[in-house]
Amino acid sequence: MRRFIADANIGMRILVGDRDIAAAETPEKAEMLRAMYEDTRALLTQVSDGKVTLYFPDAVVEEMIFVLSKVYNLDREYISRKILTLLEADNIESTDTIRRALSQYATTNLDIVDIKLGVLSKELGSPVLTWDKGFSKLNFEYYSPRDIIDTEDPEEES
Amino acid sequence: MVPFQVALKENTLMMTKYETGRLSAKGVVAIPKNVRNILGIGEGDKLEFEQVTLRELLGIKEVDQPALDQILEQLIDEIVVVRGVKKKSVWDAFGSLDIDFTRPLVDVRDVRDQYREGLIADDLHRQDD
Repeated sequence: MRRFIADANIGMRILVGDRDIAAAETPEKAEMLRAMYEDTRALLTQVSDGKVTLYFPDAVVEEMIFVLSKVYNLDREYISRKILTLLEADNIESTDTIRRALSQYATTNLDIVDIKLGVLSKELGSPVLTWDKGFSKLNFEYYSPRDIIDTEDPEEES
Repeated sequence: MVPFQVALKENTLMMTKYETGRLSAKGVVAIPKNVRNILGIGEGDKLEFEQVTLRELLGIKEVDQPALDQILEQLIDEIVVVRGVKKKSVWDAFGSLDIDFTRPLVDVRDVRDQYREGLIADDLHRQDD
């Protein structure tokens, strides 16, 4: 089995399929989009046949979230569900961290990077160090630099 | 993994215990049929394990009583939630995005600068709150 790292355009094309071809401004553009669609379909045949594995790094998933949220104004629950459907498919790989963060993304209004910090904090058993007060909305341990300057071990203080 | 099925009988909390066979050296274990049914899983599906605190399991954020608060936090080593994850195909995701496109899909490279600016703007906005 061959393994490839997919970028955000690959991920977006998988989710969009051929839905944007009718919106092409010119016949040439439509032809180009159709070729990309056919290539993606052929790629996914190899994925579903177990010949190819696609790995989506966290940064790529974060970029896909940004495009769906800011460019297409889709709501968080929808974005979370669609990307998770992709990431949970057979022969598609991603980190547990980003999948957990995506699940939480549907139910908070925080940025995916902050949510991921919270998930990582639990996985690693280490508090987050930040000046950001927005972290109070998440259920995990965090400190400001002043907290750890003033005390030897912030965990003993709490 | 020994899951429990919890039920109330005559106002008493009852738990049904299902034990698996022995774990192999490779960590393989047969999951009893009853448990497979409860989790709604079959051949090819996956299990997802998540270590949680009692606080998270019950959806409780803060408790006024410090002793109870401590108990909620301390039981993290005791609770592992198991979920059945149905096998999914990449075809379930293909073309699943229901958007009325007025223009072709954007090239992500073209919006990267906007992405970075957006992250900074969100961060500043949150710090203002």
